[in-house]
Amino acid sequence: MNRHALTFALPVFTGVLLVAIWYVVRLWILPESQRFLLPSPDAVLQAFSDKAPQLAAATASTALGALLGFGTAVVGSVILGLLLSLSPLVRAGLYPWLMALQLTPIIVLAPILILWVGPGLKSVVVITFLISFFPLVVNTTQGLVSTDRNLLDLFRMGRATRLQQMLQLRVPAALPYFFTGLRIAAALAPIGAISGDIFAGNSAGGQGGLGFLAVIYSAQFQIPALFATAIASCLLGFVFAGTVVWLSWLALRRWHDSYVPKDS
Amino acid sequence: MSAPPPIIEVQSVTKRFGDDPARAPVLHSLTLRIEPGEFVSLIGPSGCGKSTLLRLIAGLAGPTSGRVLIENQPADTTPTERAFIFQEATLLPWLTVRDNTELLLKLRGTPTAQRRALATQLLALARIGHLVDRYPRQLSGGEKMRVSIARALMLEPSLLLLDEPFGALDELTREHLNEELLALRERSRWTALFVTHSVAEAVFLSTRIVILSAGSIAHDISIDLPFPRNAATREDPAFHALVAHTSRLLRQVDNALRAPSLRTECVTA
Repeated sequence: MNRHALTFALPVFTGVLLVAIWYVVRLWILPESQRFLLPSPDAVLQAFSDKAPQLAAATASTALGALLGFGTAVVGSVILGLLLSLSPLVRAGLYPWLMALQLTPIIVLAPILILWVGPGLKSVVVITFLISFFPLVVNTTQGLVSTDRNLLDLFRMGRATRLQQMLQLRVPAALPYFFTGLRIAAALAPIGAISGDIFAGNSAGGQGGLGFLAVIYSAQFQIPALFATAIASCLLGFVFAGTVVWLSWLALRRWHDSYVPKDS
Repeated sequence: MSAPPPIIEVQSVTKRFGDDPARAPVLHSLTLRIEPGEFVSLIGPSGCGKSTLLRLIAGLAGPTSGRVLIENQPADTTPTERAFIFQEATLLPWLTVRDNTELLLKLRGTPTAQRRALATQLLALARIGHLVDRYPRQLSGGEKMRVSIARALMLEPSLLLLDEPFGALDELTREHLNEELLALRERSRWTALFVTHSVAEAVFLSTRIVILSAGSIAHDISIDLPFPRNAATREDPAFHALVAHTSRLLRQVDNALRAPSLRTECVTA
């Protein structure tokens, strides 16, 4: 079997093995009185099918919140990253406060944000923004200040302006760092949006997201539906992460070591 | 009629890193004069000021005291065109060979057609005309350095500063590039200041070799081998004699530095 076929076959094999373990645990390890806690894979698939309209609407709502929060985090982090890269003094002044924001658990901030902006999509967007922003700004700034010293000297010898140096050297050189931050943030954004849904989700006007749906199914003890919600959340995460990996590939594939085959 | 000014005049330059006056300077009251058309190699033990001197002449750093003049103008404001070739090829990995070669002229707003024509000509001279659409990741070390040389020559410099450009290459590639560098120089006669650790390379390329020791000039050796120089030059007994003579002087300098009383004078920049 060649390497590419193996790359596809191995995850499928692992998945089949996990489903088998799932059945074994349910049928032979859990006592009958507790089997309701772990519904069978076919029951989960059935719930996924039965609840498809609700799951689709909730996924769309969460995706919108995640996309808006993630998008504003990308724009904000690029602007702040550019500012931070211009001066070590600005970095020294702002970095500890960015760290403080990152280290404050979102669980504590969520009630405050709901009070400030109200429940629903706006809170979800703000929470997603906060959770995505830090890895983006840190990586973007790091990339912008890590430009090779010889390349900076080359631009000085070429009598480049500061704008030319920024646009033609620092920004492209920072792209690998930026995409690293983007990949981390893309994985966090749906988590942030779902967390936001749990705290601030609001079904009024059809805006309840996956987190909100999970809270409802949990209260109603619909455990297979809860599992189906988890699968929908996972799929949303894959779409976000996959899109960013694809964008990263598009931007870096021609020149960056991580995308160039070793034998080329 | 007065004689033309030297292209490089280093006047009693001292360079110290950091604020501690007790720390030994990297360059110590160094004076050096280089005339237009010379090819001067700087050699000496590691960390004794060769690259620092090159950076001062490039205008990339300033002296702590003394003056560095390029055609009678301070190095940081002179209009004299200088190009710098670094130890690494320093190519932008996201640009093709052609775009890397044109980079410096693009920064200066030279029209595309003009810079493209010059790049095509220089890449052909550097024997990499067939690689114009490749990215640096797809080039060998020698090919990368050829691009770096072509990019520097795009500026049509009066003064070419080379900081150990061939140090990471294998011996054969290095010899080929030495010969090609001299062939390129035949066409436009820029003055060159070349830092190297290889005595044979310095003798082959240079009209003059300056041996630095602890931030000062220890020896200034004239290399009177005839031009053009090529592979046959390396077989010449005069070449071997000059290599042996220069190596002997370099060893003397190194031995003196290794003496306990002088060891602390060698400062790593």
